[in-house]
Amino acid sequence: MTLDVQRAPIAAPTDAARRLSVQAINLTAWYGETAGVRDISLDIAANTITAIIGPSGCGKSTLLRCINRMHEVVKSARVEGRVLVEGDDIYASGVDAADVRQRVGMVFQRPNPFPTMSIWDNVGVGAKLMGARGAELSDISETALKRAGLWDEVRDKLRTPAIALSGGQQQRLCIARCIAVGPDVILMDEPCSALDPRSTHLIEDLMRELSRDHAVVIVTHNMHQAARASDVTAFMLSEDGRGGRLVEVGASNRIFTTPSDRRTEAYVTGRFG
Amino acid sequence: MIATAARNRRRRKTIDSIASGAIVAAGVGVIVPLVAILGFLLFRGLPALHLDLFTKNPGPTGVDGGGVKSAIAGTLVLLGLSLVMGLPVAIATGVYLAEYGRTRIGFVIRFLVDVLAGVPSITIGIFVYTLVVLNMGKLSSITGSDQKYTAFAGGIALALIMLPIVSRITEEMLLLVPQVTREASYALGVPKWKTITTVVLPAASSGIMTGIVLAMARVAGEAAPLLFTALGNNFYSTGVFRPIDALPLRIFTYATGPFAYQHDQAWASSFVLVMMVLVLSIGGRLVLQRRGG
Repeated sequence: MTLDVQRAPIAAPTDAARRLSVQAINLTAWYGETAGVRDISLDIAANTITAIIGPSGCGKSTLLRCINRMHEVVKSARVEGRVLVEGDDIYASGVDAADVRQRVGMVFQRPNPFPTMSIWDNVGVGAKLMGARGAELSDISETALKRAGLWDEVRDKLRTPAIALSGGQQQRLCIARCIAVGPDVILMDEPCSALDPRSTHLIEDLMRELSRDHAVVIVTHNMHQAARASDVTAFMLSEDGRGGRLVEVGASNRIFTTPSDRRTEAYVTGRFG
Repeated sequence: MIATAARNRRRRKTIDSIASGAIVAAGVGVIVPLVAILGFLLFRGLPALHLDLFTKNPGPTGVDGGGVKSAIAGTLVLLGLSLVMGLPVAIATGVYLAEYGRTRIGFVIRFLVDVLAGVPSITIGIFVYTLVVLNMGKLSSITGSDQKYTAFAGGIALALIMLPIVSRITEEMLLLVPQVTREASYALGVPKWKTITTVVLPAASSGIMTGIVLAMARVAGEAAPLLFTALGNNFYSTGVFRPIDALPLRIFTYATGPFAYQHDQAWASSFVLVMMVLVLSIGGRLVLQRRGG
């Protein structure tokens, strides 16, 4: 199997020249007595698209949800270890999860616009919460819709319900809603798995665009997507049922052509998973 | 083999048509009583169903004519009072049970709310009589009224009946809002309380509204808890701290009275009561639809 890697190699996150955006340090995430991920240490660079791949149940989504403290929304969930965002420990005592989530945005697997709100209100929710009003709010919302590539499609129907949009448009609306808050990091949990190929293509282009200003972390089941749309790939695996571990991380073109770990090679060549 | 298959298919088709027929019959069977009640009410109430019923108050006993304006106004006042006093508590309870109530305390409260739903309405009447009516004298300096039986007490009784209905329906409707919708809000840095008020409650509003209308329909027809709280009134009064008339009380008095005009007006009042409930529920739905809820 040949994977199409078009871009020039981009440095791995260990490259000292690249500014770090997120650092997970010895991170273990628990659901009650079960570990979802175990002892993960991962550096995520700014202005980079990092893909997290691995078979079902390896803890990709759990790792992602630890970066914006969404993990703890589940009852009896807790975290050991540290996660730094732009150098700040987001699990330090006194840090409010809501503040963390304004700095680390998230796009979900299924588009989830707020069902009772219009397109316009959906985009503005976060900025409004942070105190933006009037012209400022309008500017933020319009810019976010433009950056998400949705403005031309919705400019004439901003007041209509968001759920009337197509699935792909809804997902771009969710991305607009996320960037309107001005996060440092954008987490995407299989953002294209419910979308058609054209919408998937649009979102991948959008990710590239977003990585100019944000660190983008994407969980994906689709290895082709990871290969063509990410700069860095992290491969996770849960081998002993005691939580997913990080097997290998590196520049995507290397991971998909000459991985150093045999398990990574087996996975990316489709021998399991 | 083929013959068996054909026979089986025939058998399945027969069973299918019998089952479909039974379901349609059950559906029609549910509508028949409603249509019968409405028709019967109209048929018996029609002699008294004219404008006087809405514009005139009850006349002296035994004298033909008059209307039930006082009772219609009274029922509206009582409904308003029970909504004002009951809804905030009921909805807050529902929010607590759905969003915070996965704890032992939540379990106990849910159980107690269910018990309250099973308390007979006459018992709630006695409770309010003991607690409120008998103590109104102590409040006379605040209320400016020396009346013991009041619309206020009646409103409390009706609010207590509404409480479990609205809070449990609110809980159910909030639980129907998908978790991903809450997470979408959390992921934007919206705190939990703000997520509940701006995202979850609006998403559940049409269901909650249905519950409120259901509860209003239920209490609008209650006579028992009003007997010794609101008492009833032969004169037009909408004062909160005075005895007040209500349609169910008026129907009770007239239906058991000796005069033909009273019977006619009891039927007509019953029809008006049913229509009020119907208008309420249809109106509530229309308002919500316009809001796109």
